[in-house]
Amino acid sequence: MLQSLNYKRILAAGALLIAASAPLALIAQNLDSDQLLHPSPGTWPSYHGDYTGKRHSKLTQITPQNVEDLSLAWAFQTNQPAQIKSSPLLVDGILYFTVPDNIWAVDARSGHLLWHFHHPTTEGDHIGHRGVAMYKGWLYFTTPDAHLMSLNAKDGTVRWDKIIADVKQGYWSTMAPLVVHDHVIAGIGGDLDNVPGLLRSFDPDTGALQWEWDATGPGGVPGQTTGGTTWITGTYDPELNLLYWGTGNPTPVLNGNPRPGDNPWTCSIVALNPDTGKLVWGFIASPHDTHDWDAVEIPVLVDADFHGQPRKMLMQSSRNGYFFVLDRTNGKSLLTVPYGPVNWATGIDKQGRPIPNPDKDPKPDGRLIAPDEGGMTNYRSPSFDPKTGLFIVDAHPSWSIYFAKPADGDYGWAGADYGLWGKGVIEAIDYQTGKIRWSHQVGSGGSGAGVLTTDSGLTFTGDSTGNILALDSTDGKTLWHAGTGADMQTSPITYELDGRQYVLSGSGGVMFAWALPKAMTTSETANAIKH
Amino acid sequence: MLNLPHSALVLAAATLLFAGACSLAAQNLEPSQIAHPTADSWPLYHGDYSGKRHSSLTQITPENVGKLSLGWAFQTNQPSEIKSSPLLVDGILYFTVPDHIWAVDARSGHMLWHYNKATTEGLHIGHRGLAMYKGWLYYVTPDAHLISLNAKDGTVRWTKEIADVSKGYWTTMAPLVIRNHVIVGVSGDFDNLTGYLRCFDPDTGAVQWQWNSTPPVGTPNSTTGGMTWMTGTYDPDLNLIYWGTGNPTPVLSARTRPGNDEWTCSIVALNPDTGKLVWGFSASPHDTHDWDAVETPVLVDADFHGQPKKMLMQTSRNGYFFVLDRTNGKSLLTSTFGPTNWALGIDKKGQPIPNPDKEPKPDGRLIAPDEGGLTNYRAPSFDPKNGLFIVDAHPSWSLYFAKPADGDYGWAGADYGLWGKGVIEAIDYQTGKIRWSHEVGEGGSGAGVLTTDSGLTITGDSTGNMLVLDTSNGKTLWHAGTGGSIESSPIVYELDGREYIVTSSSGVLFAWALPHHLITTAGR
Repeated sequence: MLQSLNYKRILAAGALLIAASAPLALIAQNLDSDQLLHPSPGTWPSYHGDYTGKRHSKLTQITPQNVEDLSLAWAFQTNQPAQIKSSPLLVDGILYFTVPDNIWAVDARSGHLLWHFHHPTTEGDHIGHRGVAMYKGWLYFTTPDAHLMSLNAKDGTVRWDKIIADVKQGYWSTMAPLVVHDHVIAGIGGDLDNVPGLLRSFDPDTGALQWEWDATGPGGVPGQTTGGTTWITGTYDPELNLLYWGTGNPTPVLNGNPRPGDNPWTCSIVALNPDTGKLVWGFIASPHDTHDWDAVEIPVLVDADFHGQPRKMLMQSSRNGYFFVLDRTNGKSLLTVPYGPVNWATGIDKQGRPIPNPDKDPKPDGRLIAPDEGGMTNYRSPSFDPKTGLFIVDAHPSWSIYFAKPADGDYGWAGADYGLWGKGVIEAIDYQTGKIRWSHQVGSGGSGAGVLTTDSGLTFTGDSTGNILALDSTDGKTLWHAGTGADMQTSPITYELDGRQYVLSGSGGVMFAWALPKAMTTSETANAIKH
Repeated sequence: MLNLPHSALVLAAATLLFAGACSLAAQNLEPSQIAHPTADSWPLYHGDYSGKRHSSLTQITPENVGKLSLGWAFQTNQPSEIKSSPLLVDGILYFTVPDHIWAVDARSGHMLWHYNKATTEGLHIGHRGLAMYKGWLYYVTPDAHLISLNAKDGTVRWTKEIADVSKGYWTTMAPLVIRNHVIVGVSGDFDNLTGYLRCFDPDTGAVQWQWNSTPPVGTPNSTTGGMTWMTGTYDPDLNLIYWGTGNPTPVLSARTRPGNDEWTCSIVALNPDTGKLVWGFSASPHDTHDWDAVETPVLVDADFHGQPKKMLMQTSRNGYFFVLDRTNGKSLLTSTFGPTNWALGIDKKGQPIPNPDKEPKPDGRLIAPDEGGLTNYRAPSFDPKNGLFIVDAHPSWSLYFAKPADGDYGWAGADYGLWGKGVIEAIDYQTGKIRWSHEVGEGGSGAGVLTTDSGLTITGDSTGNMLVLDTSNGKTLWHAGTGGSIESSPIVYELDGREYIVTSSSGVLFAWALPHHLITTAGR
């Protein structure tokens, strides 16, 4: 008799499952290639929101005039110690976001949990997680131990689990895969061993390996570099059918002696054919890097005028302190300028690449270097605002001391560096000149927040004390802020559902959904209908 | 040369500088400020000695609450749910979870200091918060110690034992400061222990007095229990403290403790200078369902059936709403505020008469409410304008079993909750009638209630929404999802002309306020 009795908690949990999941299971969770190519305002179907990586939204309900009324629609607490570093996906009203070993599916209107996937792993690096990819009804999730898992988006059940790279060799994985046609493209991390960086493309249905592209030759070849990890999601141009990807630092990291030359394709921007994985062109952002300055920052794709000519461009604010504008049809440089203090290059070569100063390599007696090892920016996303022509980045002017430690040999880190000072500055770069049109200080130490711009003229980002900020895209002035209680280590997203625009920002272990009060969105919707 | 500071160290130094700037604010709370709190403070657990949790602030109104926004959030990054009411003194908030205290700037949500002392003994079931006197905080630990800390930096001045954790005591409550008395209660349900209150000297930590709610352990035909795990209230005119006491032990088996089991499940009035009992009222005579009567004894001076009265009101865990004359403990009104089926009636003293057939039995008894009760530690609020006592109620049913093989020690039986829901109920204190009710969902909410003079009732629902209701009719005026379980009672304050409502959910504290431009307009 006692065994058959249900505890209140079990009853309550059962009720929750029925109440929460039943109505939503009716909604189709089906994301096809066309939706990835042309995302609607009610979706955020890939890591960057669209293939261009501009992180610019057409939504205009929240404006410079009304943003001061922005309020919290809901918060979601992960109750995990890991900081949220992911951009959520939004498909058919459901948000998907991650921390290492965890995925949450959350109702985008209410913040209520639909399902939670937890897959504890002990191997690999749990340094962060950027999010999932989706294709049709399936999610794609990378694990700290460098596996790619495919899960049912409706309930988080696992369909298959494939190895991206061997965790025992020193690989791990944190990135959100990129889906292009019927390719699921996944990169890897791994800095502490001399291993080659690689991209792998998987069949979305079967998980079969379609191709692999290696950033460097295999380990153990004398005089050759290893490294060039691929740990941030790339972008894609459907017309050129080219995939753009940034690659990480060479290894050994701080000791360049065993790897003379430019070390292609480490610290590079590469263009690949997504169907074959073949390299079409490559551009080395930091030739012969000795400072851990991955060039994995978002290769943002912009079609616009450049000095009077219409151009298909690629822009990157790189960790090494340089802002690059390339012609993305061929990888030729259009502009190379620093966007903060840099002191490690003797100039720019004919190809638009910084020329590293050998005296600024790490030395046994130390070298004062700008920027620091974390770089002038990092994985946080910049945004390109087409109206103002501004490339807006959360920059980190900073100084550090780099030491060579010959006794450490030529494996893995192979040296030491010490950050001295840094601050955060939101910089709005004129892409035609590289000049900084406005800058907005966000505090000592810097912020980890990415940037989002909207067509109404708003720039959303964060500061070093955990505030979410709404700035005026034309001049960088603060229009609104709210304290979130932790560093924002994510890039905001925005979407509109049922006529209400939401801005989503993650900080610490909490996801915040911001919106205007309902009374305001209703009247504005009514006005829109009248027009 | 290698010992160069990391950027993290530089950051830490910057944080210290920031904290230094804040230590300029005087952290000094005089007992007179506790007796007459200003709108820019919340200097004790209930906000004032009356326990009404009603604020005179009116910047946020039924008309503008639709534009309520988040001023800031504070993330504890701890798995423990926040169950405490923060204190606010000189612009600094102090709040807790077991083993942790945070001092946070009330305007910005920035942390000033964090105290963490891991304990392994005692129960880490929850923590209700702190008390403060002059520049010192008073904090109880899971292992039943009272710690006095410097409010400016969280450094420990002294540590005193409240009770012996090895016997089965623990502590979770926010102490009550009255003049130069720091009054502390105890918890402990799993052993046959005596409940008591202990009063400490705020400066030295010396024990001033102790009041025992039950006779010494081992007294024949006598109960133990009567824990004192919630903060009481105080009437300065009568110089009486009012305190609720917990269930008798053994909990579900009463055969070793005949009679009313005084003073368990009771409301008692004590002299705060001596700890002497002045009167007592048994809310659940001879309890066998774990229905602590520790819910806030709310003190109200108002008209009752045509006569001005000094009243004490309690919505008790056993399902009854009591109105007492707090000068003498005599009953003015006893009514139910939800389904109860365990009493035969009300006696002449206004105490429910327990039905012996509803005691736990070997073949089980269906009982309303459940063991968690019709309400619990979450605070109710009394709104003077509407004459409404507003409580987060929990209509519920459960099965209670006697298990004679379990003997006469500790829990001594078994109970199984079957079903419950949350309902915010507004009780007319003169009749006990429920003027309005507002359902807050299956399972119920853990949120307490706060009311304001502008006519707002602030609470939460079972899915983690913070709710603002219209106090006159209970209709929802505004809500926002907080992503966790709301297990604390809201507070409100005004700083620099801006009114803040602070609520918690799971491990996050939220401070809500109107947009700046609306406040400026209102100021004009």
